[in-house]
Order: sequence, then C-alpha cells, then structure tokens
Amino acid sequence: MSKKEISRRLAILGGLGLGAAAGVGAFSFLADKKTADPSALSLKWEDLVPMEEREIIQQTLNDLSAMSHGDSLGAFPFEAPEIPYSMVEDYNDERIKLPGYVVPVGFRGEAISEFLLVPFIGACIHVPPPPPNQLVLVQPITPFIMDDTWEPIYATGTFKTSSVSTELADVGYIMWGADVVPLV
Amino acid sequence: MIFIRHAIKSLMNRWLTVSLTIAVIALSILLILMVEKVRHGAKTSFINTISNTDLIIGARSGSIQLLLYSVFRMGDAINNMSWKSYLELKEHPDVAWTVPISLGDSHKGFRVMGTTHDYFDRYKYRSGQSLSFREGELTTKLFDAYIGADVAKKLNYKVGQEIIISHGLASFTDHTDRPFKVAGILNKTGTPVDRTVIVSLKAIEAIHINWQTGIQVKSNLTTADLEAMELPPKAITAALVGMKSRLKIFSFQRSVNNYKQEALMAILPGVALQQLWSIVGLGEKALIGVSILVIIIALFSMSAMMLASLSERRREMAILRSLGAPALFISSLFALEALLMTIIAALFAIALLYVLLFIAQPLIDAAYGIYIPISVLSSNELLIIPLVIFAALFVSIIPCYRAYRFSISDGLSIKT
Repeated sequence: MSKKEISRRLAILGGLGLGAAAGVGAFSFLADKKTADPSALSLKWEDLVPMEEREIIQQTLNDLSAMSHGDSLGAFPFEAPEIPYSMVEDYNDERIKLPGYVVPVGFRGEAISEFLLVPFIGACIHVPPPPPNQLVLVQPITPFIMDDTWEPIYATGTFKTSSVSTELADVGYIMWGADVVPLV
Repeated sequence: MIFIRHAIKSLMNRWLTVSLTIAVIALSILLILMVEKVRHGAKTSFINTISNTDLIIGARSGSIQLLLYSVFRMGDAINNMSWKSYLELKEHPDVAWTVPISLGDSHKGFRVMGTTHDYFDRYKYRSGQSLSFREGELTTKLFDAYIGADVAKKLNYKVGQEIIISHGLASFTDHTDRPFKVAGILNKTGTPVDRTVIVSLKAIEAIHINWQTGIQVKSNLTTADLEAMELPPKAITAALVGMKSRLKIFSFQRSVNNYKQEALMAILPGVALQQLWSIVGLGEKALIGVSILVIIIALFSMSAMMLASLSERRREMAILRSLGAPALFISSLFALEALLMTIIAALFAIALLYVLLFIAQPLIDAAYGIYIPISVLSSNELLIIPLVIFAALFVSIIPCYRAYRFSISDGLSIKT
C-alpha cells in the first residue's frame, strides 16, 4: 500500500468523521436552542418567605416538642396552618429564575400550558402542602411536553405577587412568559 | 450537475431493485411516522379527556381509581360521598363552582350519569372546548335524557325516543316504570361522554324512590308528583370542582383529604392523568422501539442491495475511471444514490401517510375514539426524516468504501 493511498484513505475517513460530527453538532444545536435568559435573577425558595416570617417559623419549630406526624385529629375545616405566611413583594415585574417541580393544571394538546411550580412533590401526606408563599402559578411562553413530572426544572419568567383571592387576604405568586428547562 | 444526472440515470437503469428498495425504506418510514401520529393522537385524546377542572372529589380510594370511574366511567366507585358533605364543600370560600355526578345505572351497556345542568357549562375537554348539541337542547323536564354521539349511533336513537334505564351496570331489572325521553344528542367529543347517557340528578333519585329495600316495589307516584317533589339526593359518586384561584388547589385538596365527617379525597385531574398515562403509555415506547428497528433493517437491506450491485457495476466504474473520474468520485456516487433513494422514500412515505390518515382517520375515531388530527408534521416527526437520511448515509459507507477499493484496484482490467 503506497504512502499516498494511506494518506488518501485517512483523508476519507477524516472527512466522514468530520461530516458525522458536523451532523451531530447541528442536531444538538437544534435541540437546545432554548437557553434561559442569563439576565434573570436566580432565586431560592426561601427568598419568597419574608425575613421576619422565617424567624417566626424557626421559633414555632423550636417550640414544638414533637411533630404531630399524621395526626388525624387535626383541625377541620379549612383552617390555615398556625404558621403565618405573607408575600415578598421585592421581585415584582422582574425576570426570575426558580428551580422546582411541575404540577400540571392545564394542557394544550399533550403539552403542559399551565402548572404550579412547587419546591417539592410527593411529600408525605401527613404535613400540609406548601403554603401560598411557596407556590408559583406558571404560564410557560410555549406549552411543553413533559413525560416525567418527577424531573426538576428551572422556570424563568416575569414574576409577580398576585392577589387573586382577596377574601381571605390570601395571595400567591405568578410567573408568566416563562421558559422551562430541565435542571440538569 | 453531471454527477446528480449520472446518479439518477444509474438508478433508473436498475429501476426494479431500486424501486423495491425505495418501497422498503418508504414503508419503514411510514411505519414510524404513523406510530408517532397515532401515539400523539392517543395521548392528546387521553390527556384532554377533562380540562379546566381543578379537582375531582370522591370517596377515598386511589387517585387513578377515582379518575377512572368519574371521568372514564370505567370500574366502580367503592363508595359514594354524602350530599351533605358535598354541600358543605361547595360552600368553601375558595371554591368557584362544583358539579355533582352520580353513576351506577346503565342503558344497554352504556353508563348513565346523573348530574345537573352545570355539567354542560363546566365540563370541558380538549383545552377548554364545551359540550354542544347536535340535535335537541337542554330542558328542565325531569325524565329527559341527553345522549352521547356513540350512544346515538350504536343504538340508532333520535330525539324523542323513549328509553328505559337498567338498574345496575348489567341487569335484568329495568326501571320500566320510569321511561326517559331523549331530549338531546351531543356532538362527538372523542371522550367518554360519547358513551354516556346523561340525566338529571333528581331523576336518578326519582327512579330509585321505590327501590329502598333493594328490590323494586310498585309505586303509584306519577311523573307530575315526582317533578313536584324536592328529592334531594342522599349521595353522589363524585364532584368536579373549579377553584377561584389555582393557587388554592393544594390547600383545598388538603382540607378535603382531612375532612373529618367522611372519608373523602380530592385529586388533580392533570396529575392523575399523567400518572395513568405513565402506565398506559408503556406500549408507546415498545411501538417506537420496534419501528426504529424496522428502519434500521430497511437501511441495511439498502446497503446489501448496493453491495450486491457492486460486482455488476465494476465495468461501469472502470469506464468512469478511464474517462478520468477520480476514485473518490465513484465512491461518492454510491453515497449520492443512497441519499437519493432515501429522500425519494421519505417523500413517498409522507405522501402515503396523508393518504392513509385521510382514509383511516374517521375509522379510528369511530372505533377507538382516538382523534388523529391531519396536520403538518410536528418538529418531532420532521426530525425523523433527516435522522433517517443521515443513518442511510452512514450505512452506505460500506458499499462506498468497497466501490472506492474496487475502482482503485481494478483499473480497466475487469477480472470477471
């Protein structure tokens, strides 16, 4: 086998390799064209609880001698948990990035068009659900398909404290125009 | 240009093997596109069986079971919930609306559901579509029934038809003393409503008024008497609930689950639907896996065909070489042929897909209630085509390389 032929063969193999790499590269580029807004403010869930309240919660927990785990004699009906909760208004109308889990509440086709973003899911049934200041109602900018709702995500969107129900002075957070990307 | 023309002519020259190869690839692409369309249609129909309902409340069992009997009318409720609890939950300040439903009777194999007129306003499917009447309209008469499209079609019912409801889900005991009249036929929805006979909650109470002992006792109450009576239900099977704010779903769900007077549970339909689909949807993955295998087989058979044709084309390659074509030209000719065949196959597959969808769509809708929209290919489906073409190029490396070797070593002296 001549030297020339070997180099030619290598050239072909190299060309094929390059072609394959370019193809794969093009596909992966298409796949993650949606990158989150880097200018968004990245928050943690505890940022959504006012400072003074965090102290109260801490105090309440310290006062508890034991957790009433699964206490089926708890108060009925419709009494809010003892711990107070109020909203943080510092981030209104800002672009916020928040990690969490998806609880779908609205669908378009097979895609999720509205969901509740929560800091945890599938928690044990004995403790109350996340309080209003630990819930965000998110409207994604484009509905997205998610087969496995146990996967955590990042939602990045315009944030607001909403007073949807005024009767009980209960409010919650909403986020709209949100980009949703997997956490990993 | 001469390059492409030569490839086309070369393919045309071997039209029989080439067209068979194209047919194999086209069918394999068609298979995966069809599977993807049906999967998408099935999942969409499934997920959109109920929308705009925030919670479903029923007796405490499992979330999937509650969903199955309250929405899909499959299986049975293990228990009812009391009307008293229903009224109490309805009054909760966060609740915007509730619709009670009561199941348990049937008509010729179709489930009968007792509810209120609110059901027609509040029950939504396919991202907020409402139920609508094909014939007839809502009335306030006690013994009027509204039937789903499949019920009307299968039993050939028209508005005005008298129907008798059977006690239980399959039985020889009919509520013959209380015939219902079909007052409306609903448009096809692709949801279990199509297979449901809807009557008023009060009518369900009325037909059971002489059934208190478990067997039927003759009663001399007339329809007018019954219409005048209050007849509040004692129990209902489940209730659909809409919240004033979706942010209140969890706290209300919690208070239902902790309801002291009765063992109740509330489920989020979207979550339960996804849970159910993760069980039901296992089949979809198997189907997609099989169709990917079929594509791989088709591409390898193309590669084998090209290899087989290689020896009969040695003379052709030799002539091209003598005319000054570099060996690389000849080997890329093979790649181009593979590319052309796959592209033609893909075009055929897409054309065939729409022809098939056009024919099969009404049949699948009628037989399985799966509505497959005839729409442009989704980005997912479109991605399949370049992937297949890329795979075809990859597979054609083997014949290309052989051609390259032959054209270098053979020169003009063909040994065969």
